[in-house]
Amino acid sequence: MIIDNEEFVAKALVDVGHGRGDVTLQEQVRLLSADLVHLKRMDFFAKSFFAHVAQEDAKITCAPFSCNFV
Amino acid sequence: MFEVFQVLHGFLIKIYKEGSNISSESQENQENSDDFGVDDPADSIVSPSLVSVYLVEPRQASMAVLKFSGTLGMRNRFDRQSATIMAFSHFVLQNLACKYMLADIQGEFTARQCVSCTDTYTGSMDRRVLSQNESVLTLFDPMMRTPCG
Repeated sequence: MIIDNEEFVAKALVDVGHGRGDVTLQEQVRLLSADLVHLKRMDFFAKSFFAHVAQEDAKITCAPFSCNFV
Repeated sequence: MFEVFQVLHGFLIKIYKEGSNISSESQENQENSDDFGVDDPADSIVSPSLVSVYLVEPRQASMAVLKFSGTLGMRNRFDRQSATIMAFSHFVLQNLACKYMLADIQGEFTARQCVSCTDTYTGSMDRRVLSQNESVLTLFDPMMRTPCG
């Protein structure tokens, strides 16, 4: 789907492990909500982490391909 | 504040259809209102029933996924990129008093999604301003582990 010219994907849960293909609606809501909570929680702590790094004047990097040349 | 990585944003879409069943919550309210002899007009509203639910995330075009930790183990590398992510992982663990820890940390380089793209962080090794089109490590699909599993 496209929202404001940005492409998104919508993930639905399907049980392929047992060959049935069915996950109850309640279970889908529970598992997908848990996934979303994990993302939001990680985002929250990422912001706290950057604030802590700035406070401690620490050196961090995630620049692509820079790690092997330091 | 300079953000050397970002976390994928997402949201849920729930699709409902008009139904005739009153939800269990409203049924409970109905019972409670009967106890007090008061009829709540909200109880007579027909509740829509949930049909499907989706987790919606920005489409990730890159196939090059960087794994920093797995579901049951971690990668033992000493480059600064991995060290930064491990520092973040330990920061989360410390802040949650070891009750939860991030697992299965993975990401890929995508276009920056935040609005603070021109912020600079002078304490970083990357003493430069990221442009809006510059790629940044985007973490996605994390898991949380507890001491019980």
